Amino acid sequence: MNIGAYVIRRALLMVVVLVGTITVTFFLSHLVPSNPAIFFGGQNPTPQEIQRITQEYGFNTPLYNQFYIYLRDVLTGNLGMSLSFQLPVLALILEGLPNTLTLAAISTAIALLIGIPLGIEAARHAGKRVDSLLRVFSVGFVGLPQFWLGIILQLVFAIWWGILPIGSYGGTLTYLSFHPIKTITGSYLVDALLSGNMGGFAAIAESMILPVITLSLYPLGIIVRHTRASMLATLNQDYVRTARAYGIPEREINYGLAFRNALPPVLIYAGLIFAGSIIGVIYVEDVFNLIPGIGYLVIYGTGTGISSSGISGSVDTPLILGVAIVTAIIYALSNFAVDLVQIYYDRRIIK
Amino acid sequence: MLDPLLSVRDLKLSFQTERGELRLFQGLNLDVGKGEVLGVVGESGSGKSTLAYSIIRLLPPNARFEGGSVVLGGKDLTKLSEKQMRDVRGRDITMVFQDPTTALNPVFRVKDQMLKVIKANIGVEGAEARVLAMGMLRNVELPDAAAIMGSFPYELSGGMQQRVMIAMALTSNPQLLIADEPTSAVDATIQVQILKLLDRLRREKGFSVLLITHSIAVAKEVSDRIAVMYAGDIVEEGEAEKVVDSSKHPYTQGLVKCIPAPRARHESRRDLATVPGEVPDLTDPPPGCRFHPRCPYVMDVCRKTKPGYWKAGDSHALCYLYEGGKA
Ligand SMILES: Nc1ncnc2c1ncn2[C@@H]1O[C@H](COP(=O)(O)OP(=O)(O)O)[C@@H](O)[C@H]1O
Ligand SMILES: [Mg+2]
Repeated sequence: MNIGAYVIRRALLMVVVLVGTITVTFFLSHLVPSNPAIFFGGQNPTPQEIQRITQEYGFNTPLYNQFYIYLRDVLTGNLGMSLSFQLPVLALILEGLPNTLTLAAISTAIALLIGIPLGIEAARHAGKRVDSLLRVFSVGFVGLPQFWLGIILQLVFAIWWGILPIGSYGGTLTYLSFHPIKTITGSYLVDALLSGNMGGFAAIAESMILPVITLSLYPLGIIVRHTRASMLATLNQDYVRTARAYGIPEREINYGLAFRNALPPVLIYAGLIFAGSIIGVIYVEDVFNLIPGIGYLVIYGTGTGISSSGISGSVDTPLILGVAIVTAIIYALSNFAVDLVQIYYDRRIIK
Repeated sequence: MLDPLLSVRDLKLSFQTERGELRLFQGLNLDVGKGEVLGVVGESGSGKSTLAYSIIRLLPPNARFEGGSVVLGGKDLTKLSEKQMRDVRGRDITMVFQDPTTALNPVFRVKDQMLKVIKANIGVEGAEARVLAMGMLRNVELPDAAAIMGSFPYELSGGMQQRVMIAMALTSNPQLLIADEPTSAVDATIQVQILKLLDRLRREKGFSVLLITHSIAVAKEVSDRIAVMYAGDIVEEGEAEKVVDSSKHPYTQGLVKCIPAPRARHESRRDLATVPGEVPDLTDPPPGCRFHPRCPYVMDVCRKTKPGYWKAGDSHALCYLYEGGKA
């Protein structure tokens, strides 16, 4: 099989998985024992409105027909109206997503950039003191609950030592309103940088330090463990012995050669970690009162936030479903991206 | 023999295993002359690869060096630091392995693997290194060098992969090439081609070869001298012709009997005959001569004390049949 055919096959697989996910969310939403028209009708709809929505969305038709309409809507980007915001769900998500993705990308990148070298060193010194020390830390990081970690970091760095802001949405926004940034990518951090607003960039970056630590320790631990395991297996391979027999320096063997062989399984975890960190971001955006991403939508949509004053106590089903679908898309896309990187590293995969 | 290039003296080495200590070498001696091909022959498990790894110092972590010396051109390799040894590998000694399909790295193109070896040993990079690499590939009779440089190892045949290995091994004109069963993984016609190639390169460049093989027939064809190994001991050593045509040690005689008749050799079934019996469990080796349980001429003394290494005709043999060099 050639590379093109392989990529197309993986892409098709991704679409199939997505349609499956959307199907599951649809039927889950139908487990809710109420007339969906009420959810779609905003707050306190009149019977006439309910009647109109029931007709418009086909809620009185058989389930398969409703499913068809739903699928058609989702595939054309119509995720419905948010109850709490009275705005299209898609627009809300697209507005928040860049900030959420920025946070997820930075934490994943940090986990990889620190975790991979540490994992390599652990494997090189397997069984020695460095390895044991790294094991203690990485297993510890994996075991730390994020909600606890977030609060402890706030306590130590913000309340006791006062060196970092406890939650700086307000402060950052005030700064940004005096020194506005152009909206280019939608990510405040990136846009501040792109529009040369270094003050804004610094303020946003500072507000992200504790959230990023909170988010990256768990994946860091995972990456260290998996890199170590994969690297240990690689270092036992014949081709590593060959490299030694031909006088390749040890550093080059570890970081230039064996690392590349050990990388593919680690990348699979990197993809999962990136997509999974969206869930962590939802929590962290709330606890650290960050620039709103989709976390803030979920908190409002479910009325469960720690800091949210709560516009409504009810569940904003279209919004939550929308976030669920978008999260699924991110999972599928990061999986696909990992597939592409894997073929780049090892052509034998497509054989 | 001519001037020795490599002298292994009184090498003692053991492995720590779950079933206890495996004392493989208990004072092994071996010489390789300048420009000479020494064939090391023996059944699987006799310690041929471990001997190679002891010389180039790439032993597995559970191996323990317990004494002796490995002198190459006046330098005792066992005394070098790991860093100094790294300079010896690839420059003074290199190695070609049995299975090129696992010995080459599957995720790097041939070009990238060759350029790394060139950089490490000659310190040349970029276009200059590429020209060198192409020349090396042509020298191992791989004419379409450019195409091979751009290939991944698994896109090449076993024979081509082994040629690439040889090209890399000879990057910096080493003094000693260790070839550990270089043709066991390829079929018979390719085997002959590879052996001829090694022979031609050796004549041109003048390096010495330690050729490990389980086939005493192959060893006879390409070696100047042969050392026969059994259970960690060199049991016979001498000129290749002599060792094969007038074998002294009963084990060597057994190996020679197993050489298939010329006609049968064309059939690819190489293991038509074997020496009766099995290589002993070396964590619990037989007392006395390690070969005695399989020996047709076993005597009482063989079961009790280890024989000496006595002169036997034009060769030497580790066997009581030649006690005091009388035979
Ligand atoms: N890493 C190791 N741990 C324990 N025993 C080993 C190890 N490597 C080799 N041996 C043992 O040493 C003996 C010689 O092995 P080896 O050098 O591979 O022989 P050959 O290359 O002649 O087949 C065998 O009995 C083998 O089981
Ligand atoms: Mg072997």
